[in-house]
Amino acid sequence: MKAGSSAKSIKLESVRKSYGSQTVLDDLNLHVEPGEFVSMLGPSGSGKTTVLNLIAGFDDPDAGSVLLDGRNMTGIAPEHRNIGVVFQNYSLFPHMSVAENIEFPLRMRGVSKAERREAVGSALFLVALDGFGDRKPEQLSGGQQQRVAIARAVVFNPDVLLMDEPLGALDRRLRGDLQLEIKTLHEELGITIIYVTHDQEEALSMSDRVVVFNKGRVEQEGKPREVYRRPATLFVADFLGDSLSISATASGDSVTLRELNTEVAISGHDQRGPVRLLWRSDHVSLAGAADPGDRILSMPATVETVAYAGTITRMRVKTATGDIGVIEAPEDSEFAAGDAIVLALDLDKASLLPADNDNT
Amino acid sequence: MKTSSTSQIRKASGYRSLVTSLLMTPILIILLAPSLIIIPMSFTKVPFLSWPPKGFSAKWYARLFDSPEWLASLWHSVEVALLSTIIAVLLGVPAGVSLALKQWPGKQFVLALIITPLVVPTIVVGIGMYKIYAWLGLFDRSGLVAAHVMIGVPLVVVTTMSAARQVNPVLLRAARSLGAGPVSTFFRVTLPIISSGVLSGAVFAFVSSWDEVVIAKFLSSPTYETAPVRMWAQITERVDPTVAAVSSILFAAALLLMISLMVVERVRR
Repeated sequence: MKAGSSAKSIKLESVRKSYGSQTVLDDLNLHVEPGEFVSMLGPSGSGKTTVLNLIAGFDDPDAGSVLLDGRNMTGIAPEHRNIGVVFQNYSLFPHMSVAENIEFPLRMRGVSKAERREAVGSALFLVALDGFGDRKPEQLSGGQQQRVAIARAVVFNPDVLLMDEPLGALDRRLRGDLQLEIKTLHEELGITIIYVTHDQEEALSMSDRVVVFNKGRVEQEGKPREVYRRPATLFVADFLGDSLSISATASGDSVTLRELNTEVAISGHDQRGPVRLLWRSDHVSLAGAADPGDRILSMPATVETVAYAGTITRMRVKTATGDIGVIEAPEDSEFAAGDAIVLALDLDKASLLPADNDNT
Repeated sequence: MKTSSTSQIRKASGYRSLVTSLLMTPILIILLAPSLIIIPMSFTKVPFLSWPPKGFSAKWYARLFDSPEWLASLWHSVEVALLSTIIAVLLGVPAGVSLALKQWPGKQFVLALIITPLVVPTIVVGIGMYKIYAWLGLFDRSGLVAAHVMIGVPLVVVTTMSAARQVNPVLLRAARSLGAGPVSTFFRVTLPIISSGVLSGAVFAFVSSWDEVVIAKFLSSPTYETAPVRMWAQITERVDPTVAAVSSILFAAALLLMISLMVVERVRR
């Protein structure tokens, strides 16, 4: 297990895939650099698992191609692709011990017994399960089973590691621990990882790059901070976390908020017509006594629901423009439903998105 | 409070198990008595089948082992049962796995076709085979094995299918991704997981050939008889307790096979 040396790139070019009359992937393009950790994020049925199946070779695209390190993989059976796959759960062979599970891919590659034993030992060490080799999968906890599955998927130095919601079946705390372990593993092995999840926090915290899927298309891709702070569409904004957005009309550098009879200047966009101005929840603050300045929009609103969340208090508010959104207030704020408040919206922190009737 | 309620529960479950055993005992007796009654009858002293048996003697067993005809028929039964079981497993396991795990057109039709011999009355199958096998020249051993394969295959297919349905398809994908081709995946992952289903299918196939008499009657000849066919012939001619001795041996063999299957299952777990 040498760091970085075996990392390969993955490229999907104009890939289409349908099952029956249902189009699952529609002209999909995706590029993953060698050694990159890319998360594919999206609701169930958005096509992300299909992408994984096409890369692993469990399925072939109807059109377009999947390239591994520049080589077209169409028609190559999964066992000849040298790609590691970690599944959601219960993928360990129940009739084999932990050690036998981990050495399975090495056995398939004709590795000698002595080498197998050494590799199994270091793989168990890598996932902090030394001494568990003789156990049967059923004797392990869910988290331990997934760590064995990871060890089994990396022990043969795969060119790429695919992970299909590997932590989906685990409880929240364990998930956090394993997220860090997988991240460490990525740094130690330098391997290319494609990670499928529907958990936005997981995608944001682990990846070099996030690809957001919706209805068989890539809705947006970019660094975690980019997609979180600068969502390209309302779908991405909603999927990646809480926000507040208000409707407006854009023409050139000026944006009109009809309900407030206000016109503000926002540059650096090419939107025209109906748009939405969007702020992440933590970028919305409550207007104080101090002079707000000309880049701050004061927006009257009503509190609808208050939810205490430990480090902050989350509130659902209805603005004077009639838009509903979620904002974050300090942990010790004592608002109640029905309270009238004034929000301070920083125009320089707003994202300008096309108004979208599809996903409301 | 707590102790009294647990003791009540214990008492209730005690009653329940008492009722269960009261109901079960007559059922078990009705089911087992006809099989078991033959054993004491085989140790009788008098030269005809009688109940209750008179005296104790092993002479019918001695006579059995002195008779080349009886020994030949027992050996033929073993031979036919073993060969037909092996062939039924070789044909039935791949079919069962494919029917349970793969999608292909005409699956339901093929399944119905395989199951047919279990549904059609044996006498009908026997007559049909008699005609067709005569035409094909299949008699004696080859004919009997072919016929018993036909009976054994559906049994193996059904038990294999129910075992294979429990196999998580993710395991098969995992095996492929780890470098195992379809053949290695079958032998190293699928087969070990479904082995107990395959084993019980094989035992059923063996036993159903072991005591099959209707079809065997059509396809056997005086030079190649199985034990049940010879028993049938004997019992229609005279009432010799040797038949009871053979029956006891057939019964003991089947019982032994079933018990060893159960032991194997328990050891596995």
